[in-house]
Amino acid sequence: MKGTVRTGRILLLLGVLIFLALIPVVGRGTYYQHLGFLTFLFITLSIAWNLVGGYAGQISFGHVVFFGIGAYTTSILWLRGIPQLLTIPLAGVAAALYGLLWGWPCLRLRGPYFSIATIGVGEATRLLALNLENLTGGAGGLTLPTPEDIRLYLFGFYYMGFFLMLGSLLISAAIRNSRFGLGLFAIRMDEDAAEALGVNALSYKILALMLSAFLVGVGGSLYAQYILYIDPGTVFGFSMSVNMILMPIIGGIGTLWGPVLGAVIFTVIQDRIMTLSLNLWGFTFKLVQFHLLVYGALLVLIILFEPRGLVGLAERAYRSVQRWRQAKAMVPTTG
Amino acid sequence: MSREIKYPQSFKPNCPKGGVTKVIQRVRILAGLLTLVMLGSSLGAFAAPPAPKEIVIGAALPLTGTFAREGGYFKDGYEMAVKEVNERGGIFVKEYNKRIPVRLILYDDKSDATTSVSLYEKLVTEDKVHALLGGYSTPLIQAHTVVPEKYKVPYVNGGGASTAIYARGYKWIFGLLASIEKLAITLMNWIASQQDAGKLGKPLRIAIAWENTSHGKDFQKGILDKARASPDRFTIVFDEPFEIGSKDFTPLLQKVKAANADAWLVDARIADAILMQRQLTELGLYFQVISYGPRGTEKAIRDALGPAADYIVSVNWWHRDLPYPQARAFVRKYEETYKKPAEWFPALAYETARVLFRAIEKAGSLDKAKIRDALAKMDMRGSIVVGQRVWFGPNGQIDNDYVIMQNLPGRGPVLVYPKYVALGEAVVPIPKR
Repeated sequence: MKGTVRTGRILLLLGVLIFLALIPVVGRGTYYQHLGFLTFLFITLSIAWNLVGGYAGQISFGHVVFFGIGAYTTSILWLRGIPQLLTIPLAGVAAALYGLLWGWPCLRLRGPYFSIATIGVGEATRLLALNLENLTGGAGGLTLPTPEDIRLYLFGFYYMGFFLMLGSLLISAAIRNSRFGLGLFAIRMDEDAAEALGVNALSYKILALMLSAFLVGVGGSLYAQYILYIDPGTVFGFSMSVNMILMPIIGGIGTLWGPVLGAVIFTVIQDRIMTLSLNLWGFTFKLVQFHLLVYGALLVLIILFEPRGLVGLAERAYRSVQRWRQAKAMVPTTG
Repeated sequence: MSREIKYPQSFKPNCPKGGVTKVIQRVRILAGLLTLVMLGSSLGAFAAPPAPKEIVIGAALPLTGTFAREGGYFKDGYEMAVKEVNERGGIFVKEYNKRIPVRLILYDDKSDATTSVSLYEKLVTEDKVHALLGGYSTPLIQAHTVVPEKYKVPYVNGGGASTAIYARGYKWIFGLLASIEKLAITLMNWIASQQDAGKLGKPLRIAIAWENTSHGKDFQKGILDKARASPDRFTIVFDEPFEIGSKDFTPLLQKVKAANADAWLVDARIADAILMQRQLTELGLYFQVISYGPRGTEKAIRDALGPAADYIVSVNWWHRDLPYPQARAFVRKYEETYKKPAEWFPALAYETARVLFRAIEKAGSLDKAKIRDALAKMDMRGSIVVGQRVWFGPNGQIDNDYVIMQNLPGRGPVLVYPKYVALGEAVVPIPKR
């Protein structure tokens, strides 16, 4: 029975992946291709944040700095003649090193103190980018060259986003089942107890932050190459940090699939609702900000009733159905 | 050996010698001609495909978020222009020899650059627009103009003046706002004219502050370039940027106070200008000239500040008192429709849409490249903009004049410069309260 369920899950996953891989082939240059890229990007950011915030329990409000560092590293290097593809891993490495730079002192802080410090790091980095005009273009930002065949170029980026998402998911799954992952879970539950059991909490947290920073940095790099224009207000904007937190919390913080689900809901619902309007009794309601109401309501409900998010809710529902089936099977038939 | 065909007698007399062959030849020629005519007419039918039901124009505006107020004005202007053209039956497109109505698709980008880019992607790839109208504010326009450029869709905006938008070598982007650098230079030229009239001393000690955006930097560059060119007239004693949406300008203003400046020249958005001027008044700072660049004379600022807004000078792309009949007609119609004073935002939005419609008409086609070429060659007379003429430089940006106005007590904003549109004398230096 377990084997059948497992095979069913694998087949479902394969089906979804094949469907996603075929979207740009069927509808090349369509809006779904663009939406797909953004969704993969946000899934990556959500998974990356979950490594630090979900697995290790370190709530970071400054993750956007890695996104910005990645975006700027790629843009600056590309504009100075470095091959575009080579800038992608370099962007990840730069973000990881930046994570080491501020993670080393800040990760010694615990709980809300760490969170407050990350807000400071985020804002300080944005101001730095704003004022290093010769390097970053300052407030005017950096514009990247438009490729000759833009449709082919964007077609390629869809798959880059797709593979980045897959890679992030595999890394997250591997960590979850590793000694390192168990160490992170232990830190989340009780840092002192984890240290007493031999877990080097600071090293573990720094490593998790660097890994997370690498993925977010690569995401920032792809974003810059895809949008072809970046400025500090966008790639270091605080709202991006909030989004990175919101997605895993809605989906299920500390779980494998929660950040994926949260990011899909975040991106797709927002996109579909944003351009809709509702006609009720002669009044037209624009639903442009409606998604915020949906997220707000979801957040309140999740924090109150199911801290493991939508994934936790789905698991609870699944268990209830199983129990109901078992109970039904055990009832003796009469007559 | 030739074979003679025998025809009935009745047929023969009408036929000349060798007549049968000729008749057959004539029939063949006729049939050929008929075929040619039919082929031609069917080819003609292919050459003139049926006209589309509507011309789809799209735009994403900041209708919520930081720039919601300005975005709302732009929405009014676009909708008014579309309504006007549709009342005439639409835009005349020569290719179809008929007027085609316009459908405007407007989205809200929430004042967010990534959303703005996504919405322009959606307009091009999902809504399949024929052409695009611009959004509002330099950072958003700088981000989303990448989309029309990469998909080669004609795009006109009336909400982005920063030179950075037009300095990228883009071919599909056009703008109806003259550069911010020119705005700053116009302000300095006006100050020089006041010096020449003996109203202001030389050299004038100037303090400048600018929002930390490319818009602000253009303003700073214009002022500094002019000051460097005329050291006998201007001395810069203070020069600092500030963040958009700051909650307190007191530390900045304390430094300005210490600089002992004669003139206070700032590039700021409405909300920042209100807070800055309020705090400046509370601190009791006095300057002979105060300007917030393109802001300072809007109704929102006058309402918020009351008498503290008096004598502020603003340099702008448009003013409701411009002495052109078409501008007056716009003001009348706008104020009747929306019950709001006509300010530059809806005026420029309205004219931006009209310029795009004119380009489509000139192109005589809905072919995007032809519309783009018509925009590049545009020379529209009888416009409501300053100088009544719209044309674009090689970078896609207009280069017309600015107007200067000043809030005068009991009169509101009055046009004071240039002379050919002035309706009053500027009060300089500002009377001490």
